[in-house]
Amino acid sequence: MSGATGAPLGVRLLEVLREQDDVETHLVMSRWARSTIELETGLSVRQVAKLADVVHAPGDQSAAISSGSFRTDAMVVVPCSMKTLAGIRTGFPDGLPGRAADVCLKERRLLVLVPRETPLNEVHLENMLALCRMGVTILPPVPAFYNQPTSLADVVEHIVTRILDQLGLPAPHARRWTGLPTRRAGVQDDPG
Amino acid sequence: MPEQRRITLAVTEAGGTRLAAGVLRRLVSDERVNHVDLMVSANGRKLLAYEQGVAEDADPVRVLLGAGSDKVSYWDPEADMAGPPSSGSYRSWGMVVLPCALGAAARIAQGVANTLIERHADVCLKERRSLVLCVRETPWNLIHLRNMVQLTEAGAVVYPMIPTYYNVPQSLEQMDDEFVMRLLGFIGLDQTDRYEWGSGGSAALNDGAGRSQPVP
Repeated sequence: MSGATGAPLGVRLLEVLREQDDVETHLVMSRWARSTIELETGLSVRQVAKLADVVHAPGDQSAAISSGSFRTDAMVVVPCSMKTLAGIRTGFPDGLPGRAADVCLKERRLLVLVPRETPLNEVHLENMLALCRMGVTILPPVPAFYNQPTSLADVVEHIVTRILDQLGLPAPHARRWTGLPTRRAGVQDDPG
Repeated sequence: MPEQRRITLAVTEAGGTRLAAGVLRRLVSDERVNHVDLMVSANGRKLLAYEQGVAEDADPVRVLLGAGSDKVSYWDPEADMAGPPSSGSYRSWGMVVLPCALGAAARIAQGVANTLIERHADVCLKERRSLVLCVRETPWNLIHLRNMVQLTEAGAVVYPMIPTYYNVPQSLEQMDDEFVMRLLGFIGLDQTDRYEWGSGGSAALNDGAGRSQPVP
C-alpha cells in the first residue's frame, strides 16, 4: 500500500485474501500509506497489519520479498501513488515496495498496479504505458456502474473483485455483467 | 463577469450517466454558461435507458435534467453529423465527454470522426479548445494507454472517473458530488471549496459525518 488515497481498497483486498486459506499475504505500508489508512478507514495501522500473514517495514530492503529467490505469485500495489508508479517504471525504487515490484518485473511475475489519480498528465500516462508494455497490469480504481452500486462498499467490492480476477483467485462477492437486462421500466415481467 | 460560455457535453457508451446528469444540471444552472450542446451516442442512449430506468427513445435532456431546458440543444450524434458543432466556425469553449468509452477515445485519438461526438472532439483539438475525456474502464490495455498518451499529446485531458477517498465520503451521493464539483472546477467553473485539501483537511472532511465505520 502506497501513499495515494484509496486505503479502503487495500484494506478490503486484505480482508478478502484472509478468507482464502491457500493465500499467504505479505504487506508493506509506506509512510504515507500509514497516514492515509488512519484518515480514510478509521482503522489503526496495527489493525490493518493484523489482516496480513507477514508485515514488512517499508525501509527493510533485507526483507524476503526483496529477493527473487523468495517465490511469490503476484504483487498488487493498491493504492498506487504516482511517485511509486514512477519509481517502478524507472527502476529507481524508493524503499521496499519499489524493490519488490522490481523483483516481480525481473522474475516475470504478475504485477498489478492500482493507480489512484485523476486527471492524468503525460508523465503519469507515459509511465503507465511503459509498464503496460512490460507486462504490468494497470488497473485504475474506476467504479463500474453496470452492476448498479448502491453504497460505497459496493464500489470498493467491485474494484477488489477486478483485482482478484487479475490474480486468478475466487471473487466470492463479484457482481458481474451478464448483458443488458430485458426488463425495462414500465415493462411488466413476462407472465410466462 | 467573464464572458458567458457555450459548452458541449457528450455521453458515450460507458457507465456512469448519473454523473453526466450531475454535470448537466450544474451547467444549466450556472450563469457563467449560456448554452450547452448535448450529444448522446446511440449506445449511450441504451445505457442511459438502463441506468436511469427509462425507455430507449426518451428525450435525453429530460432524462438527464428531469425537465426540458431552453439552454440545452440536443444533437443526435449519428443523425446530426453536419450539425453546427461539426464546424470550428461554431464557437464553443470546449467539450467534456462523460462517460467516455475507450472506443470513443480511440476514435478521437485516431481522428476517425464517424459521429458528431468524434467530429466535435476533432474540432476541439484543431481549434485548440479544451477537450476533457472522463474515461470509464479498468484495467487498461496497451491500446487504451497508447491512445490516452496520444490524446494528451494532442492537447486533450484524460480525466478518469476515479473517486477520491481522502475526504472520507459517507455515501455514493457524496462521492459523485465530489467528482462533479472537481470536474467543474477543473474546467474553470468553480462551484465550492468544500473539497479543497488544506493543512486542516477539507470542509467535506471536517464537517462530514466523520470517519467511515471501522471494519469489525
